[in-house]
Amino acid sequence: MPSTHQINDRNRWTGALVRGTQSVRHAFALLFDFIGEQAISRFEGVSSILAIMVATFQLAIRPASWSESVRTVFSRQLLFTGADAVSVSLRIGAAVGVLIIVQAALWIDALGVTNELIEPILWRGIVRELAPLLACLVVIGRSGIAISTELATMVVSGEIEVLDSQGVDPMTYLVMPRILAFVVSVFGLAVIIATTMLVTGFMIGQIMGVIRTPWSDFLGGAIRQFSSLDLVFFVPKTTIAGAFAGVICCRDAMSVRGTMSDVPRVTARSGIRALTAVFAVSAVLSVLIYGRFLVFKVL
Amino acid sequence: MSTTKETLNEDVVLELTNVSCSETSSEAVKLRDVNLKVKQGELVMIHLGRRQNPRAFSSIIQGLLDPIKGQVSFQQTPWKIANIEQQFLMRSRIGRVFDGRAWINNLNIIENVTLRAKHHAFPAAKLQQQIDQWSKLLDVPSLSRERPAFVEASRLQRYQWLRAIIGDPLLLILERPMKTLDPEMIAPLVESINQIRLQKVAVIWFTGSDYEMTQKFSGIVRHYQSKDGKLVQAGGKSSFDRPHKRDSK
Repeated sequence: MPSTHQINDRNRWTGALVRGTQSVRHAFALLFDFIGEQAISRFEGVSSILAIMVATFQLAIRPASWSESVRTVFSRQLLFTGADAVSVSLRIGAAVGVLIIVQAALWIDALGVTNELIEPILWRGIVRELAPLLACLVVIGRSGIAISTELATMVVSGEIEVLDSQGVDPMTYLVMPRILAFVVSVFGLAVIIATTMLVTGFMIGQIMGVIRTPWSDFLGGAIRQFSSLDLVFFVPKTTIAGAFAGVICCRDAMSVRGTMSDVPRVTARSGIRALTAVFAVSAVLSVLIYGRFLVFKVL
Repeated sequence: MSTTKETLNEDVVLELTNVSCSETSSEAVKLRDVNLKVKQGELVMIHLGRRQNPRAFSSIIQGLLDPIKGQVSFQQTPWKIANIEQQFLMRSRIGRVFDGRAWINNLNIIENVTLRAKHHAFPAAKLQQQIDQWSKLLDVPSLSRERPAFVEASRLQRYQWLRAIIGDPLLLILERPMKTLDPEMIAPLVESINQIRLQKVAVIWFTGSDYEMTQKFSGIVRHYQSKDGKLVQAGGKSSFDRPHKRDSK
C-alpha cells in the first residue's frame, strides 16, 4: 500500500503532466492560430489584388470611363512611367547585354563548346527572363514607389474625399489609368530592353571575338530561335507582372491609415511587395508555360 | 390631393430624416435625430459655433459618411439604396465649398476647378461660358496654371466658390465660404447666390458669423442653429420642417 508521501509525489507528477499537456496544447493552438491567420490574410490579399485587376479591366473596356480627365491622367502616367523611363531602360539594357555576352564567352571557353550557342543563350535568356524582369524593376523603381507615395499622400491629406465629393470615382480616376499605364509601360520597356541587350551583346561579342558573324546573320539566327512559346510567355509575363506591380502599389497606398509620417513606411513596403510579386509571377509563368522551374523539369 | 403632394415632393432636393451621427471629432457638428428638408431655390443658413466644423455634416449630406441612424435622400433617392455609379452621378450635381483646404495638389487651378464638370462630360463650350459668367459675378481672379500650394488662401477660397457653382449643380453646400476673406468680399457671393437660386439651385450655407446671416438675400431664407445635436430654427423653434410658405400654396 503506497504511503501518503508517495501519493503526494504521484499527485504532483500528475498535476505537472496535466499542466505540461495543457501548455503544449496551448502552444499548438497558438501556432495553428498564427498559421491560420497568416493564411487567411494572404488569401485576402491575393483575392483583393485579383478583384482590383478585374475591376480595372471592366472599367477600362467601358467607354464611359474614359472621360477627358481620365484620359489626361492616363497619358501623363504613360509619359512618366513609360516614355521618361526609355533612357534608363537603354542604359540598363546595354549594361546587362555586356554582362551576358561576357558571361557567355566565359562559359563557352570553360565548356569548350562552339560559338553557335551564343544566339540561343542570348535569345532565351533575354526574351524569356531578363527583359521582362528588368522592365518590371525599372517601372517599380521609378514609378511604383512614386505612385504609392502620391496616392498615400492624397489619402492622408483628404484629397480622396475631395474627389469623392465631386462625384469623381477614385478607382476610375486614380487607380485604373495608373495600372493600365504600368502594364503598357512594362511591355514597351521590355521590348526596348530586349532589343538593346541584343544589339549591345552583338557589338561587344564582335569586339571580343566571340561573335564572328555579320549583324544580319546574327539577327537571322536569333530570330530562328523564336518559338511561339516565346510570344506566349513574353506578353503575359510583361502584362501580368506589370498589372500585379501596379495593383499592389495602388492598393497599399489607398489603404493607408494615419498621418503623413505613415506614408514612407507604406510606400517602402509596397515597393518590396511589388518586387516579390513580380518574381513570384515570373516563376509561376515559367512553370506553367515551359514546364520548368530554373533547370528542373516540373510539368 | 396626391398630385399636389407629388409635385411638392419633386421640389425637395435634400431630405434628412431622423439623422444621427457618431462624433468623428470633438469639433464636428453633432447630429441627433435631425430632420431637414431643402427644396429647389431655398437657402438654408446653419449657424455654427466658433469651433464647430461642418465637414462631417456635409459629408453625410453627400452620402460620403453613413449616419448611424436615419436616412439622407438627394432628389428623393436615399444614398443607402443608390448603387455606387448612381452615387457618383448624384454627387456630381452637388457643389461644395469646403471648410479648409480641399484641392488636388498635383493638379493646377484650372484643372481643379473644371475637374467635376470635365469628368462628367459637361459640354466644353457651356463650361467655358459658365466660368466666364460666374468669374465675373463672383469677382474671381482669372484661372491660373499654378498649383494650389502656390496660390494665396484668399484667392483659393474664391476659386472654391467658382468650382462649386459651375457645372449646373442642384445643391450648393457652402462651409464657411467667407473663411480667409475680408467681410467686404461677401457682396459678389451674395449676389451670385441670389442668382443661382433663381435657377432653382438649393443652397445650404454653414456660417459662423452674424454679418453673413444678415446679408440681403432674395426670397425666403431659413436660419438654423446647431445645439446639442439638434438643428433649432432661429427663434428657438424645433428644427423639424414646418410647412413652408411655398408648401401652402
